[in-house]
Amino acid sequence: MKTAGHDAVDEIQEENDAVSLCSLYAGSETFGIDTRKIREVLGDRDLQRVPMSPTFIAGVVPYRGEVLTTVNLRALLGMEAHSGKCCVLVMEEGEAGERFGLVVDAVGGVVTVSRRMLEANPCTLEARGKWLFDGAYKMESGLIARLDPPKLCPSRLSETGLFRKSSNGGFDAGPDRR
Amino acid sequence: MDDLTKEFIAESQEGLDRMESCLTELEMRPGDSGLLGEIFRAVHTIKGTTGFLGFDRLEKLAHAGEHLLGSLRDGRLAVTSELISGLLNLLDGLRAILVLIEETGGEGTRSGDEDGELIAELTLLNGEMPPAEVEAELLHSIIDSGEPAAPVAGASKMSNKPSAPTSATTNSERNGAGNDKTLRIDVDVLNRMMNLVGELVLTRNQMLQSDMAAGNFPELARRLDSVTADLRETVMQARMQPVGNLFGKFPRMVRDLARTCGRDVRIEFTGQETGLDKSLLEAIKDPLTHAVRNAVDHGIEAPSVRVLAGKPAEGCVRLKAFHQSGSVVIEVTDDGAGIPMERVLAKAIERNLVTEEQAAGMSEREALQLIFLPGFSTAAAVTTVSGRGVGMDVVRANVEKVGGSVEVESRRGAGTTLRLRVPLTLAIVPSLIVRSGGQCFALPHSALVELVDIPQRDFARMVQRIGPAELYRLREHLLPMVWLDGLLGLEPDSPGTLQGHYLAVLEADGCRFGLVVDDLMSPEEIVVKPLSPVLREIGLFSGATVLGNGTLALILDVGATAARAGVKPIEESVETGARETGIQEAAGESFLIFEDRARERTALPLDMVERIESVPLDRIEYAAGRPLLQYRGELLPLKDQGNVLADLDVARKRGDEVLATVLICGGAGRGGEQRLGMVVRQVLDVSPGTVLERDEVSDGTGLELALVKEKLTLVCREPGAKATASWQEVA
Repeated sequence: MKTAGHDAVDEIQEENDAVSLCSLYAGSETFGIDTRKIREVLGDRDLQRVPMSPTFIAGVVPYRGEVLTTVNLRALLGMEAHSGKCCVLVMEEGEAGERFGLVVDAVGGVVTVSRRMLEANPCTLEARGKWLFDGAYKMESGLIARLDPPKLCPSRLSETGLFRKSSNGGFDAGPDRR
Repeated sequence: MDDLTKEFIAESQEGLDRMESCLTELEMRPGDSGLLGEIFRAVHTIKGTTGFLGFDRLEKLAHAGEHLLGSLRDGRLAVTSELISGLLNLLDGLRAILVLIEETGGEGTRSGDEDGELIAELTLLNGEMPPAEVEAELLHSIIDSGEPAAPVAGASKMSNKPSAPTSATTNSERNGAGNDKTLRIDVDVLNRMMNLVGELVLTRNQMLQSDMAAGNFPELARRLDSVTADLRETVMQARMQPVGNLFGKFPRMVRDLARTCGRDVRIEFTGQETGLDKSLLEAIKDPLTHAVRNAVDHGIEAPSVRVLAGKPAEGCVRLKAFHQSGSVVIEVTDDGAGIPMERVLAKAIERNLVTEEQAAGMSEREALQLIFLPGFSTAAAVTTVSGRGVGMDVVRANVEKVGGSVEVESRRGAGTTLRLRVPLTLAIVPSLIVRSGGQCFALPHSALVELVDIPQRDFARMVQRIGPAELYRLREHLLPMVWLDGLLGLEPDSPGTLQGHYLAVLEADGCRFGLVVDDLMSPEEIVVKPLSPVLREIGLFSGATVLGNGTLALILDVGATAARAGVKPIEESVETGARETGIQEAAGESFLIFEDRARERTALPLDMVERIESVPLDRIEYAAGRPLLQYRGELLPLKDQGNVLADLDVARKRGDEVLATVLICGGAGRGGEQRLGMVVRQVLDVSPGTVLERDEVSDGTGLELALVKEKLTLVCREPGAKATASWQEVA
């Protein structure tokens, strides 16, 4: 717990002020998800692609006797596909939400942060970013954008219509992202 | 609700179910005291237990019923159809109260007054039989008051109300509520399951202790395999229920319906003992109810019409269940008027389902498919029973939802047969794993008709084009080709590495097409796993499965694939032609046509051929100059009429790798006669044909000739007779 950032821990005075985040990477950016919302980190798995599926679907993996649908974070961010190893995280199913997996480049570790370090989304963020991010933690090393798993659930992603395939086969990445 | 009440409800419902079937039977055989006793016991048990549990309303009603049944048992009353109706009303009343108790925990005093009428009716029946007008009047009053009543209260008069559909649906819902949750299992089966689970645990323990390298690992793996197979079978067995459970409610339904529609209908069953998975049984309950209702209302004509048509006044609906090649078939046959084709077409045009030109060009088979379209009904008037146009499309949709299919066959004046075909179980589907664009897909066997190998060098010759559409000429029929990788937007494998393609001929929803895949993997029994909603939305995959090697494969929904590729249901003239000949003359049968001597066509009746094998020539051995083949632990004498082996031997001496084509004939259906192999030059085709009368070809050789595809073909009727005899001499 205390591996990443002793300073941060010292700053945290109250118990309920602390949040443990799992840090993950996609491209050069760092993201964080509340550890309570992660069920399991599977590591590198062979993903079975599903033809004709929305681009943000990375594929399916067998998981405890079920077929788990996974969402590709890179695709959501409009990045190029990752070559090499990736990492599959299984999300805890929420109240009504379905269980799904998230595919990222790599998982960092558990970071304990204070709620006070959270800053809301900037107002200039485009619609897709507003959907994906839930504010950012100001760390010394940079920003950790917070992700909200229920919003990443595949059926909600397809409901929003924000991540539909564009005519050229990929997302048209917004000017503010690339 | 306490356990005692729950148990009481379950028991009473079972008792009432028995009572229902007994009542309809009692109407047929009024003198049967055993039946009467059973009915009496059912009501009596309810009465006794309710008093104990404190359900007064139920007790009062049961008491009135018991009283009436008592008089009946003592012979003071005779069984009449009014009496049976009254008792059926009593049954519905009791059931309605039971449902109320199950739902609310109390028997409900709110609609308590409703019983008064029913009890009065029962008392009336118990006294001297009232004059007909009084009875009629009573029924009238019941009908009038019954109309706006709440469903539960209305249930008590359902059989007399002209609203049988609601009665049937509430019936099924009600039964569903009670039966879904619990299942009766033979204790033996349960014990066996427990034993197997124990063995499974033991095997797991041993496996955990030994590692992969240990000597006994293969043995452990084998044991695990057998335990799993046994366990699966036992669990399946526990889930299997006889179809008869489902049939049980039909006599009553048919009786009520027949009265409402003014028909005279008898219902017959065969194959009640056929087992079907419980979940499937639930799934086909509604479609089957629909089908039976249709048969009575649309199929069977009014008695007067039937007599005019020279048929007995009493119509007959037959329900038949049987196993056929891994699926269960349930047929609903009526001996009614059949489906009037011109009215189907007229209706379809009227409802804008097809245009007039389309209708004019339709064959009978296509027209019959129209009844499965949503919003279709041919009933002249919309009766309360049926005719609202929500019928066959729902039947088809429900059956297809569980992986089944519906067929309809109709002959004018002779009746209609509706055939529901459902898989034995939902969970495990035999499938063929194919590869396309570097991915594995599973094709359910139920949709697979045949497989065709198209070698790369023959590809251009065998595949023909009309514009951009590719067609495969399969036995002189053009089959539309669909490339799986193209359809799914997958990268095709680079052509250089490919040996060729395979064409999986698939049939779904009356469409037949060839799916081009890169490779065939193994046939596998796959366990179906559902997909998440997003992936289901794609509409092409019905699920996914984990293969033996641990990877996932998507299960292709063949019907949806056909629709996506734009394959339309096609009329196969040859098939209908074959079917017609099949009906008209029994002499027509299917033949396997092959070449043994040069330029001579020979045929074997198809049912005699078990397999076609390609055998390397050096596997054919000789004993006393006779060729023999070791085949699956059996010595097969080979028959080589055309000296094919000698020709092949020459080819082998030139150094080529030679395969001989051997037809494995005979065996099982032929009175224990030994099987034998026939060496042939080339297998040509499978085709229906007509055996010529012997007089026409009276050449005295004992050989038959047949016309197959209008070519003269020699039929080998007794390939075994001579060869076997001579082989035994040698032995």
